[in-house]
Amino acid sequence: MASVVLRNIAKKFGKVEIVHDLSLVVESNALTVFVGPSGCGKSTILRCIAGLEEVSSGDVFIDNVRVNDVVPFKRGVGMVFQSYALYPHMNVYENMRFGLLSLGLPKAEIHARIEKAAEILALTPYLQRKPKQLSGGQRQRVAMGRALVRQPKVFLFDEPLSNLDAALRTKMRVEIARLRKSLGATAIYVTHDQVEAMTLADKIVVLRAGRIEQQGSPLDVYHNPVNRFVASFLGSPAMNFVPGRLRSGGAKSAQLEFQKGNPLEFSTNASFQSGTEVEFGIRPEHLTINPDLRGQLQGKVFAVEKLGDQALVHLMLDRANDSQAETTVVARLPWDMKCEVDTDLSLGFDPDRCHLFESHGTRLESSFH
Amino acid sequence: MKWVGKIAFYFLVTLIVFYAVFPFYWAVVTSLKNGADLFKVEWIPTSPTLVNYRSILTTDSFLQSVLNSVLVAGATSLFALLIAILSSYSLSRVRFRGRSLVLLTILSVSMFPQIAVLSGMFELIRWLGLYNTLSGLTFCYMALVLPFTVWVMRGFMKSIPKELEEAAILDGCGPTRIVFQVFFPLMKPALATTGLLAFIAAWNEFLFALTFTLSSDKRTVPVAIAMLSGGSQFELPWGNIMAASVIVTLPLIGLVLIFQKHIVSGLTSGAVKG
Repeated sequence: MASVVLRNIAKKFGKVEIVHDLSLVVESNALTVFVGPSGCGKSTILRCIAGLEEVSSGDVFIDNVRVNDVVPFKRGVGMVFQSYALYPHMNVYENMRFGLLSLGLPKAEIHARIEKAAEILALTPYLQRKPKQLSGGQRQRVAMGRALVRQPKVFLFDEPLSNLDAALRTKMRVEIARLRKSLGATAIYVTHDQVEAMTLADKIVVLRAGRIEQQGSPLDVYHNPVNRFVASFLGSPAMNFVPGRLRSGGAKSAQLEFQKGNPLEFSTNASFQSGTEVEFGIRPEHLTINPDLRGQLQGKVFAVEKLGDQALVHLMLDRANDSQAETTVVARLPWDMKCEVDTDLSLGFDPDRCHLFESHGTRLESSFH
Repeated sequence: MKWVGKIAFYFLVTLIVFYAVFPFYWAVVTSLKNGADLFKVEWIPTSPTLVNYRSILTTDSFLQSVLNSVLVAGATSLFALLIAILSSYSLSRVRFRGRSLVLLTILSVSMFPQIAVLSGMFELIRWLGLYNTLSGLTFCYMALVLPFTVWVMRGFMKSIPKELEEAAILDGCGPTRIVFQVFFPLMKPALATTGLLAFIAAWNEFLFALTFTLSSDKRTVPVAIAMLSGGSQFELPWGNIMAASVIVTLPLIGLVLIFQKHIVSGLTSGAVKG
């Protein structure tokens, strides 16, 4: 069942169009994450769903009801803001009660709901405290509680963890995931943090410049990116891109040339001209020191970052000739890896792990053999 | 060399305090003197007397004008705050065509000298039938204090995070509830400050009070003090005037002391990341 449906929505601020003709189905009882670089329109879309912004064109449906002209309060959404936006003059209990008063519920019902939310969020000892007497994580939980007590059809999270420090962020991330699962709630979560996106999402929607680049399960998007942007956006350190050239090698097969040395054979259904410039992408964790693998990259180490559990080795690739642009790759290698800056190194990879991208960014369907 | 700077600093502070406080001190000293003592230069009166206070506090018309001043200044600051909080909401939060024009107009109103609007205001007061009434004075004072109250409140309201308003919208609040249940409690420091300034402005005002009142039972304190006369037309009752001045200053000092903690307070802490 679809819970939130966006049909051809666009959003303009003055003459600038932020969101272009975007359609999306958000499934119920799942957590959908909007992820993208800043300015991609992810927060704007969320605010359009909440009703804090009007869409310039297109329709927004919540539970099969068109809500374009419905005031935010009546849309059945609960929103958690990045800055918490708690009412500073009210204590925790009053903060959660404020929205319920507008619903005109009986007193006992209001009290029961707040007590229950406080219990779920472990806020019971703090009900009488003012927001300024709470820690960042507790304030964040109050903000969630305020959304929770209204029993919304959809939870909207607008970068809720951005204001927390790293340790607390990890803790709250798990907390949110656990809470959402136990409530079986529908949620839309906006973030620019790809770790949050990968770990929390049932479905991930990658946005760029007001358009959806790709949507799907986190692992699917991670392993089968449709284009260079998605491939480079997810993953840290980002995917390596190495320029190469295609050469036709008979029916449904081709050769990829890069650096010097042996070209890689692969099969493809796509048609292309011999000599087409492409890039192939390989993730840092798929580069290893293994001379037996078919793919090999030669270069000079120019930096080594020891992270404790692993070492990130940055390699400046050898160039075929001086006119070629300099290319660097980074490999995620074991922590006890012995390697010195300014020494030559050869990194091996399995060609099946790499992706080919055309010069305009689209991924080329291919399989190496 | 540090102590040179320190000495210079405290010297300057002393100078400023002296400059600000001396006139009031002199008024207090003078109010405690009587007869020929008035014209002796002394830092502390040798034979202090309360006879001036007794005489001024037993004058019915003076007490009446104190009451008038309280009513007029109180009403002025109350209405000004109410109007200012509503207009500052629309001027800081609602986008509409001509908003900056309205703001500039409000600002420019405060540039006119009082004397320039006096005759026009007089006609207006007459036409409204408010001549020689306290409500007429209140009406004029609103024109004096509204520009700055609106500007100060607007500045303060702009500093309240937008998310707070949006949270209230999602909690089902219309503009009225946003203003009075969410913003109002946060704006107590601004309300105290601007309310006090409006009160002081109305309390001290002389020109309108002189022009728009006729009978002594409608006078406010500044006019009443100016009208105090002695035994003959050649005598200025300095003792009484100073005693009256001291008496009407006290409420202002009291108000400032009461609202001090509201003026100095950061109530918004905890609303957003902090």
